[in-house]
Amino acid sequence: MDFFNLVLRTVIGGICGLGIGLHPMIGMTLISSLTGIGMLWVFGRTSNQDAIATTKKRLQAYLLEMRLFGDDIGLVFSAQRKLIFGNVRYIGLMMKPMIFLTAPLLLLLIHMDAFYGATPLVIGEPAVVTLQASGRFGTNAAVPELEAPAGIRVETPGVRVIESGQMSWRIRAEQPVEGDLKFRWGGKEWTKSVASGDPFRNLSIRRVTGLWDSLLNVGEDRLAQDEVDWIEIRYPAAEVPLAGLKLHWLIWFFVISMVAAYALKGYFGVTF
Amino acid sequence: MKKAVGNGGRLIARLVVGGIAALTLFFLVDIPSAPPPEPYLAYVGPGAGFAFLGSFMSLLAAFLVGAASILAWPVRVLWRTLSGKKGWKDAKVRKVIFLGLDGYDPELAERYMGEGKLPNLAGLRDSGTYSRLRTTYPPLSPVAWSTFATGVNPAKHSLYDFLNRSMKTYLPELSSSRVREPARFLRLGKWRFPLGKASIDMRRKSKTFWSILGDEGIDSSILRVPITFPPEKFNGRMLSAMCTPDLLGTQGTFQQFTTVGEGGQFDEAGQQRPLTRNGKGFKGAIEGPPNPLKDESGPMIVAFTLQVNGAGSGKLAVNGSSYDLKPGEYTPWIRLTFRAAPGVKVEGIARFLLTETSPNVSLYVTPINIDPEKPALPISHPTYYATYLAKLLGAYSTLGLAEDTWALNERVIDEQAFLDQAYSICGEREAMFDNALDKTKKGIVACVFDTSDRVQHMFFRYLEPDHPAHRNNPHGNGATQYENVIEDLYQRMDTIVGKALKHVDKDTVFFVLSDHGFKSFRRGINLNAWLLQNGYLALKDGADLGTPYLKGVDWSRTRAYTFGLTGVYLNQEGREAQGIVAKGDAAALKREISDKLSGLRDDELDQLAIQQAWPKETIYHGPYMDVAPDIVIGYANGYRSSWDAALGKVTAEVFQDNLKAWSGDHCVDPALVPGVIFCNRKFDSDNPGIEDLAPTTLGLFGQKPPAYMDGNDLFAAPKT
Repeated sequence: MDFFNLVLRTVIGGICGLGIGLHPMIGMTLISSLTGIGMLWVFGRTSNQDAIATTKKRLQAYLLEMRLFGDDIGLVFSAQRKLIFGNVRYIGLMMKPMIFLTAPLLLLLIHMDAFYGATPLVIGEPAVVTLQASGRFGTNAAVPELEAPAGIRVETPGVRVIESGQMSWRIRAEQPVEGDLKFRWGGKEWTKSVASGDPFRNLSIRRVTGLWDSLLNVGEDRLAQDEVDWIEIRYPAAEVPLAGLKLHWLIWFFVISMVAAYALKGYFGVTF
Repeated sequence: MKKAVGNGGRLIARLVVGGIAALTLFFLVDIPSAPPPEPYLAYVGPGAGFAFLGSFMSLLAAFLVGAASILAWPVRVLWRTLSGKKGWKDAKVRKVIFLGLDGYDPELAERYMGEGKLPNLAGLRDSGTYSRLRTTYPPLSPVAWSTFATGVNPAKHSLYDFLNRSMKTYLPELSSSRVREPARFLRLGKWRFPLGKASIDMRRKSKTFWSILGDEGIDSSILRVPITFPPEKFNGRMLSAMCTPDLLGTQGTFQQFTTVGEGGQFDEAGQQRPLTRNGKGFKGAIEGPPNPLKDESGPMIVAFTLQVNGAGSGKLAVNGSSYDLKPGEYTPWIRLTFRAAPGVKVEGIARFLLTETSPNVSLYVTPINIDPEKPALPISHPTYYATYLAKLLGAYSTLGLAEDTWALNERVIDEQAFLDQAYSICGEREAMFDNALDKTKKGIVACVFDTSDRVQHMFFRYLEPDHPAHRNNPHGNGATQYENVIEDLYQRMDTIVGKALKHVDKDTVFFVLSDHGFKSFRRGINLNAWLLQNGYLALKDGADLGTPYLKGVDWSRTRAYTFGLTGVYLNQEGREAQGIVAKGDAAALKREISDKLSGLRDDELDQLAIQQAWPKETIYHGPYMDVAPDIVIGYANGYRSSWDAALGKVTAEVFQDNLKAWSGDHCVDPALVPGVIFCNRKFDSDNPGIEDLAPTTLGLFGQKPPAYMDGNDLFAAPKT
C-alpha cells in the first residue's frame, strides 16, 4: 500500500505541482481537465449510451411537449409526470458508470486533497499536533516526547487525555521548514512530516498505522510500530485563488472537470 | 438551400451550462466551509454530475415551463374571450380527424371490402358513409390535396402539377415552393458569408381551413398533408410533406456506391459513385450539398469505409461510428455531418443498404433527408415540432416524396427493399399520427399516408400478368412473390384505420379519404411527338430528338408544347418570352388541339388513348388561370404522359410501352380515378368532391365557409 500511495502521490502530486511557482490553477486546470476527459472515456465505455441518448431525447421531448400543447393543462401535467419518471430512469442509467468511476476518483480526490486541501503551517501561527496511542495511557507511565526540527518551536508540553490515549502539543513555525517531527516513547521513535511556508505541496495531515486508514491518509508511508495509531497535524485550510476569487479546490475541480467533459463529449462521441 | 449551423455558440452554451450544472452539483452536496478531513465523503460521483447536467436542468426547465403554462392559461382564455374569436361557441364537434390514404382506389377498396378483407373500412361504410370522391383536374396529389386544404379549384390555389413552366426560360420549376439564397454575401477570398437568410416561398395560394379555424382559436395537428412546405404559421402544429426537399435541394437523389458501373447520373433522380478498394475493404465519399460558405465550391463530402464480411453482410464506418450491415436490412437513420468550415456544419440523415457483395459490391444510400432533430430548413410549425417528434419517436424521413421510387425504377434496389423502406416510413408516420391523436384532445388532426400511393405506383404491374413492365423485370413474368402486395397494402391501411378508430368518440367526426384512385400505366404518350407530327411544334435545325427540357425546340415556329404530366401549353405572344400565338388566336387554337386530342387512339393497339382534352376555361375559374396549362389532358385507362414527355423531350414515336417498375398511375381522366371517402357519420351528398372537405370542416366547427370556396358543406343543404 505504501508503494501504491507513493506512485499515486508522485504522479498526481507531479501534475498538480506543474507551474506551481506561477499559479496553482495551472496544475489544477491540468489535472481537472485530464480527469474530465478520463471520466468521459470511462463513462462512454461503461454506460448504456443508446439508452442514455434515448432517455435524454425523451426528456427534451417532454419539455417541448409542454410548449407545444401549452393550452392543455392536463397535457402539461402529464408531460411533467413523464419528465420525473424519465429523470429517475436517466439517473438509474448513471449507476453503472458511477460504480466504475467512483473508486478511482475517490483515490484521485484523496490525493488532490493532500495537495490542495491544506496549507503548510503559517510562519508565526500556532498549530496542534496530536498523537493517538493504540491504547489508553497509564497514569504514571512514561509519555511520548516530541522533538521538532529547526524552525518549528514546541510551545507547550504534551497534554494527555488518558482515557482516549491522545496526547497533544502546540507548535509554532518560525521559518519555512520541510522536515520531520520526532516522537520518542518507551524506547521507540516515530516520525511525522511537517512543513511550513509557501502553500500548495503534498502535505500529510495524518500519518497512520492501519492498512485501511492508509487508503485515506496518503501523504506518508505507514507508521511502523503498533503502539501508535496515528499522528496528526492540524494544518490550516487552503483555498485556491483565481482572479481575486478564493474557492475550495473541490469547486474548481468540479467546474473544470465537468466543463472539460461537457465541451469534449461531442469529440469523444459520448452522450450524458 | 442549406443553413449553416454555427458551432461556436453551441460550445459557449455548453461551457456555461456545464459550469452552472457543476456549481449546482457542488452546492447540493454537503461540503463544509472548512476543508473536511475526508472531502471524498462529499463526492457523489461523476455519473451524478453528468446526470445533473441533464436531469436537474430538465426538471428545473419543466418546473418553469409548467408554472408558466399554468400562470398563462387564464390569461390566454381571457385574451381569447376579449379578442372576439368565435372559438368553440358554435362548434358541433370536439374533434375532426382526417386520415388521408393517398391513391386509395375505390374499385380495389370496394372489391376487398366485398371480400371481407377491410373490416374497419367496411364498418365505417356500414355505420356511417362511404362514397367515391370526385377529384381534381388533373388528379394529381399536389393539386388534389391543395384543393382539400383550401376548398377551391386549382385556379384559386394555383397548383396544377408538380411543375410549372417558366414563361421566360421555358424551363420547368417546382410549382409549390421556391427556395432562394440570401440576396447578399460578404466575400472574403474564397469564402462568402450570408448577410441575411435564405427565403422559402409557398406558391400555393388561398387559405387552408386549418388556418381559418386557427384564427378563431381552434387548434390543429397537420401531419404530412401534401404541399405544406414551407410550413405555414397558424394556430397549431404542422409537419411538412410533399415537395419538402432533401439536403441537396432536390426532390430526392439517392446515391449508389459500386465497384462496377461508370458512375454518373441515373436517368431519373440518382447518382452512381465509385466504391474503391481500401486495404481489405472499400471506401467511398457521400456527396452532400455545395458548401454554402464558398463560391462555386464542389459538394461537401462525408467519407465512409465498408468492410464486407461475406454472405451479404458488412460493416460501415461513417462519421466516427460503425454500423452492422445485414443482408436485406437497412441501417437505422444515420446522421451525416458535412463540415462547411471549422465549427460550421450541415447535417442530414440517410439509411444504407448493402445490395450486393459478390462478385461486385454495391451500397445504396437513400436521399439525404433533412435531419428532423436539427432541421437545416424549416419543415414544421412551430420549428421545434419536427424536433419534438424526432426526440420522442426517433429519426424519421422528412423528404416530401420519401419512398425512393426512383431507386427501384433504376433497379438499384429490388422490390423487397422498396417495400421494406416504404413500410418503415409508414411505421414512422403511424407513430406520429398516433401521437397527434393522443395529444390533440380537440380540434383537427389530419395525417396523410403516402405509402398507399407509392406502393401502387411500383406494384400495379403485379395485378396484370401481361403488363409491359414485366418485360423489364429481373424476376420474369412468372413472379408471384409480389402478386398480393397491393391487397396487403389495402389491408395494412385498413389496420391503421382500425387504430385511429380507437380515438373516435361521439363528439368526433372521422374521415378517411383519398385524393384519387389508381389505374394501370401501360403505355406512355409523348404529346410533344404528336405536336411535332401535327405541325404545332418545330425543332431547331439539327436538334436531336430526346433532348430534355425542350432545349431543342424552335420557339419561333412552335405554337404548343408539353412537359409535366397532364398539360399542353400554348406558346403565346406576350406571355411566353418567345411566344408566337397571338392572344386573339389562342382560344381557337386551344379548341382545335383539344378537339384533335379528345378521343385520340393508339393505332398500334387499337385502343383509346385520350378520353378528353379540356381547354382550361372549361374546367377552371379563378385568379390564377394564367399559370394553368392551356389544355388539360384526360388520358384513357392504361395511358399516361410518357417519361420523355414529362421531361420535355421530343421523341419520334408518340406511343411507347412503359417498361418501368412505376407501373400504376392516376394522371388520367379524373372521372376514371375518383378517390374514396368514408365517414363515421352519415352525410347526404350523391357526388362529394375533395373540395367539399374544407367547407364541411368549417361547418362542423360552426364557422361559415368563405364565399370564395367552391366546395359544399357535406352536412348542410347543397348550395343553390
